[in-house]
Amino acid sequence: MDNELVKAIAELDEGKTLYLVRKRIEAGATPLEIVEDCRRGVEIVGQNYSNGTYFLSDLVMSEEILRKVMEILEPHFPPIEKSGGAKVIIGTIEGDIHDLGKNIVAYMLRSAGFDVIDLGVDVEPKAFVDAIVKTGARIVGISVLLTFAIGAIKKTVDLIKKAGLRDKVKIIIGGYPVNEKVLEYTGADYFENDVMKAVELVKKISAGEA
Amino acid sequence: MSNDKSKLLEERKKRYLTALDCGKPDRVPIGLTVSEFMAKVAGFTLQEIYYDLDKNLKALAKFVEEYEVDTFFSAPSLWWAASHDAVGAVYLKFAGRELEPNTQFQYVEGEFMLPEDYDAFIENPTEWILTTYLPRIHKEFAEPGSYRASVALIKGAGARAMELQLTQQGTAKIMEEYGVVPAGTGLTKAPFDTLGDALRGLKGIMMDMRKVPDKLKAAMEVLVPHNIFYALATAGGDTEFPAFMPLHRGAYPFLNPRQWDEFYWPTLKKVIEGLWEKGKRTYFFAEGDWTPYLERIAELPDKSIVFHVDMTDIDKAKKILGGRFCLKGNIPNSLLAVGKPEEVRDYVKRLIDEYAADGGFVIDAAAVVQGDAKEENIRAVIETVLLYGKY
Repeated sequence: MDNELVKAIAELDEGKTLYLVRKRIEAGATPLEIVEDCRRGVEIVGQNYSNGTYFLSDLVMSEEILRKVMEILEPHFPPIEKSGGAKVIIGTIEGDIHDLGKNIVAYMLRSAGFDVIDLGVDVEPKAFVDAIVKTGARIVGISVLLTFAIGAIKKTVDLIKKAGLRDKVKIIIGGYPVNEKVLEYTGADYFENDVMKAVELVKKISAGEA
Repeated sequence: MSNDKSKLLEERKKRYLTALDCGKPDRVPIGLTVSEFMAKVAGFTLQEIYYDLDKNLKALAKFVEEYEVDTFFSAPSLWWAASHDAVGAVYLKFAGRELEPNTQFQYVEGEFMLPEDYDAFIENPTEWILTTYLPRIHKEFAEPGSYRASVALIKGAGARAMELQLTQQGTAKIMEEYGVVPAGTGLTKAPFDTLGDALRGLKGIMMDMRKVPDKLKAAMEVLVPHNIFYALATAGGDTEFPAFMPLHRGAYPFLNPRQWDEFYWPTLKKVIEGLWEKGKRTYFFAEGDWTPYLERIAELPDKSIVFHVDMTDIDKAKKILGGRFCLKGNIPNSLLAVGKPEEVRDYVKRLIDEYAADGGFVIDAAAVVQGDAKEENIRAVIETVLLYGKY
């Protein structure tokens, strides 16, 4: 493990991170080793976000640094399609195109080893059902910012029910307007407004603890 | 104007302005910030109000006729979609064109200004906007100077002038006919948001704080006098009512506190103070959660803003800003959309009891009310204020 690289990522030092990644490739480190260090660095970024040291702008910066690291690493190894982790379907609900929250949750889940199937934004209810059927994922995350799109979440939950899949999946809703009341209205299983808490929740569900 | 209506207008104006000055009017003013909900009330599709200026104004008239509000925000659609079609706007999607007839319009964020554009922007923002930015965000201007671009420019400018004139005349008539006052006149933004919303985009500006901090700061300084001027120009010089300022990227937890202090606040403060020097108050429409920044906001001159409470901790807002600044808000929009009238009544009653008791408070939703709100819930808000809101 390269503590310097972990630290550079944790401190969001783009120049230093990219320099260290290049240096290690030259020194013969495998891309997987480097990715593992990056993951540890991102984990610290996540902890710093949870304890209030880092903010969204810092998460966005870490995502940007990681993207550049991956660009450097890509020629050195075939991109891993499947991480081997539990599958999580995620998407912003129909009628809403806000993707910041969804992207950050997807990014943190991937960093935590989950196999994230990102359906994008403005996702129609049927697309969630199709994705469950196709991938067999047991966890579905639905992101929403605009309150008027909440109805489409209810529609999605109802459609999952109608397809006979309701018992097979846990549905988490997240975003600005969600609360106990919205959870009840939509019929989803959990709600979360905080990215790191959402990641913890997915870990718990995946481990059968929630 | 009939005598009744002009009396009503004066009453409502006094009620609203007294609250903005942190005083106690005869009762708590009702200042619902309502947009697409009005289309529903008037029985129009969203496509109709986006594309038809008359229907847009009719929806406002219908709303203020049926709902006893003291102030109105604007006609339901902020855009005349036809004018954007004429110039091929790539950053907006409208019902009836890209979207279903009854779907809320969408803003498509992009990095329409690039990091290398900063120097030209700082040198002369208006020139840069005309020569570089407009061609990027409008398909019809893609080749500046071409026949097609020139025609589009004429059409776009003509449409905008028409829209402004009709809207101004239309709302003036509604004020007269229904005795209702505007919640604000004119529009402006925090310089950080001017750059972060439609120019650099969220991700772009977040990178800029780390990579080109000096250029970002210089660009924001250039925007200070512009944003002050824009508020007054779009208000037609009015200083009686506050300038609407929707605030975006300064909400928690977008920026870390150092960034907020260094990048967001200094130029925003200058715009607000600059307007206040000219006698113009700012309607600080704090979307999202602003709790961590209340102490900084309290640095502003007394009464220079109306602070809109969305997800900000209202107890802290009251404690830190109360008495010096009017507070406005904060019925959750999800409650208006999926709650029951009794629940809305309880919430509004609690707002009146706990936050409005000593004046300086205007009842409003937490965010702009769109088509998802239930009509019975909006009625419940008004009935509750009329019943319990007398001082």
